[in-house]
Amino acid sequence: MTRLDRGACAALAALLLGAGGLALGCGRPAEPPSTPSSSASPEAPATPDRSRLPEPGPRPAWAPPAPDAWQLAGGVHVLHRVHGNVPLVSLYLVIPRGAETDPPKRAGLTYMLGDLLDEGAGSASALELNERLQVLATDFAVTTAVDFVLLSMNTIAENFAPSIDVLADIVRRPTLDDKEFQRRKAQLVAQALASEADPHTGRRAALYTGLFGDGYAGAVPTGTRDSLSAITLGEVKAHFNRTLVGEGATFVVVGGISREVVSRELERAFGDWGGKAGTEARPLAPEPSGGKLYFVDYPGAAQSVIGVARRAPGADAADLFAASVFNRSFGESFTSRVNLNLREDKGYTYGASSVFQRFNKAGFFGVFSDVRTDVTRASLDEVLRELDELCSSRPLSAEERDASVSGLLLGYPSTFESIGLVASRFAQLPIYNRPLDWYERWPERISAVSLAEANEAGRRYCDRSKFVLAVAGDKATVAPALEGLGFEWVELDARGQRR
Amino acid sequence: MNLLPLVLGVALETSASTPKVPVEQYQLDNGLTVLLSEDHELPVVSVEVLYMVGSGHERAGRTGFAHLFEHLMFQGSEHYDHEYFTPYEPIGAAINGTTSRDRTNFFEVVPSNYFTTPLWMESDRMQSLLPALTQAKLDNQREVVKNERRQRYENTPYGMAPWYLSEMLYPPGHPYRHTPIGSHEDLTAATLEDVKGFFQLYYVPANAALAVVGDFQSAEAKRLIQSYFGSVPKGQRAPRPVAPVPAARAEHWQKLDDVPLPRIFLAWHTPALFAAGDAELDLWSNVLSTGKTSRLYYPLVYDKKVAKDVDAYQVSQQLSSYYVIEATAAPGQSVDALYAELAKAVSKALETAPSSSELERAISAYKKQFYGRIEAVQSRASTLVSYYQHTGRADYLAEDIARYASATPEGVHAAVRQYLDLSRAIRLDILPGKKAAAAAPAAAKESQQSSGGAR
Repeated sequence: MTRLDRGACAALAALLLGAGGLALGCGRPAEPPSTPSSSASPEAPATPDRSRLPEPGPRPAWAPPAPDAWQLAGGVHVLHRVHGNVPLVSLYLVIPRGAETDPPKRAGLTYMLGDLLDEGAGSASALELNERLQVLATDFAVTTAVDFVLLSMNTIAENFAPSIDVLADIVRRPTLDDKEFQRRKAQLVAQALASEADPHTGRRAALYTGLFGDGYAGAVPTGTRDSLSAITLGEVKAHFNRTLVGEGATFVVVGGISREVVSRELERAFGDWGGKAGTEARPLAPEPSGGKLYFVDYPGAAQSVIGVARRAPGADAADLFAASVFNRSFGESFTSRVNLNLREDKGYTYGASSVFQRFNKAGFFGVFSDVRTDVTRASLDEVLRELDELCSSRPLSAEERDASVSGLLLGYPSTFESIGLVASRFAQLPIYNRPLDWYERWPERISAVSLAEANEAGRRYCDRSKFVLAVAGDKATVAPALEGLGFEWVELDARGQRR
Repeated sequence: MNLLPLVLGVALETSASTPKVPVEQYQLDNGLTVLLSEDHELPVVSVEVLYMVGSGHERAGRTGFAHLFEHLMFQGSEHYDHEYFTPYEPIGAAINGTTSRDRTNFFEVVPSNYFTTPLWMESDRMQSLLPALTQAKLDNQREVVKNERRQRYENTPYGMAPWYLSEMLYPPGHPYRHTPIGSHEDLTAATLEDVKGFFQLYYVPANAALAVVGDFQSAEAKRLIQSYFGSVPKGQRAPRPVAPVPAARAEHWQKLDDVPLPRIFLAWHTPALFAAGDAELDLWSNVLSTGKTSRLYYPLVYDKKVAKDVDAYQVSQQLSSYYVIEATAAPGQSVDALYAELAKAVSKALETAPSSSELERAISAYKKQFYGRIEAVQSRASTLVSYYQHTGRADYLAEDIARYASATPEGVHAAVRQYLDLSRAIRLDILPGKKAAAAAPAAAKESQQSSGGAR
């Protein structure tokens, strides 16, 4: 049953805005009472009380798993935790240098490097390396985002040691030969070409161009047809030498495996790994003035894929916690204002949501939806109206603030449920330069957000004149209605280039 | 090839920990099947209610109805007449529902001290959805579902392919003729009377199963479940839809979409979920398209480079399944050139049984996947109710794993030879061009609201 045909769902899953997202929204009860959930409960009555929802039992004691931390001989960091009840291991190697280091006109260079790492390494050809991983039932993948490259391996605990051998070849001894380079380059160009048919690609290009221009975070981490085509093998090799080094790197290992084994195997294969990074990040472009509408034409599209966004601080935002409380009520949750309005009241869309996307040096706040073509203008009007009202007649209520805080806190344990989830949470610590007690302290910080602070955060991001609009849809139908919006029209192609 | 001495198959066999999920299964007097599986690792509980009705039960002219109905289950019930997400989000719960051809499920993952909330809510909508139902709710969710169709199918590259494939695979009148999303026309036609009839026939305890997995105490759960669900009128288990046996016949369609690269789908009828051959075809998929040396990826993508990608998979269903091989042309390759090479590679792949190494790798991958399925409480609950629906026993994990672990090269090859004959393949090409308007014009009127829009 590889693919059970699930068909369709009631609610839209979280909007994915590309890798590099910071999982906002987690908290733990600030003062967990110690009574376990297994305590005796009163006898259930024969006929249940339907006049109100049942009262909860005492809150169970629970604390998030904390990593063990140490360094290998060469200085590379390790975060480890025995976790779960299955013999699986999730490993991440975090390299804190990402697409931000792609040179001008070479968007996708870091991505291409990551793609080529397992196309032959050590003494193994691309085919042999792939065979080795399959025999071990080890999945290997590379993710390239704005601020980091993330190498991941999921393996069976018993195959950890030989998997580390393969990983060491991939990270330290990739072949990077011309034959595989030419093959993969053609593949990646084909992928970029194919992706342009998806209006979400067009919206993303439009939005990021509007928010970040040619600077930090502006380019697509996976590159475009043009930028990928221009990349040479020499550039990839030079980028390997300045990127795939031990400086700042962190291993995250979570699952059914002891610290002793992890330490021994990583020391053996990576103990002498070091080296200085030589990459440079693209400078952040000045904040755009707002008031522009970036449009990508998808003739005949049944929906318009829209985004309404403005710059926001990055992962070190001073109002990080207040903003996530505000955002949960405004547009993140199903019962948030934005979704209840556009979906459950108007029926314009299958789902609408808002998000804070945080990179290290900057981020954005945006509202996103796929809306029926003939209500594109009406949908944008509703989003802008929600922003206006947040700042004037309808600030967050105490009930909204309380629901957000409790939802964040009570949903916290589930975000650590699987080996993979715990590993990805740990991986965010080095990615965003966060201390080891970050997750332990999260709940008290969320709990501390007052209504006034949540509203202050909301007010910081609601001025419509600071927003840019991105729309990917059928120009012939949509354009006339959008003219009256008062936003300056800029037309782009799916690669973010002016038409 | 430079194979390592440690072969995973061996490693897993010697491991003491083969996946196990203890589960208690019983029925209430009204026929509701209950599945309980305790696990106190994390203070969360997943509650899932499965109704054994899907788009396969829809009557003529009402495609998409089972799924539309699923949406209405979130719009309030007699004693909680509000959005069903409302009480769950302040407690950090994950909640959703899904509809397939064979069943509809609803699930909530809640903090364990709120374990009673989903029992209260699920039993209220099972007992008394209809008093809260209104035309306005139906009209709103009809629009939402049409937007879901636009988003997932019409406005997604190659998104209509599953719809076309269904029409090619199944004759008119077959329960699987359409995918669960349905047509705009039929969604428009759905009435409140349809909703009432559907609820009374299918949303009854005898046609449902309730799974509770996670941090709870069984004795307490049994009392609560009896209290909340025990008084819901029984109803009857829905019969399986009657399915004319689809004829295996070659057919070739070409459809246009706004895509730059042609894609070819080949499809065949195959054995139902859990029937003999189903697991073998799953394993065969790995042989065909997992990894660079696989039998289709290597010649088409790696070596000759006529394809940008290739994939093979069994879509397992209750009445019968189907098997798909799909390949996208590399830039500059015509659909004919791609088909010629694809047909050659498929024919060659079908000639020989999997090698022992190919099969071992495939089995290892599936064994690992089983651990993944039971790791989190929500997917564990879904796995248990699925076992119950299809085999009558929630405690079926060991048998399910054994289907894969005990497969032989000869067994896989026999299934492949029996079902995947290239001369009887259904073939669908999606070609670059202007796609046909899939939708009737949008029903709702453009909102005139422009509050503050023009500045």
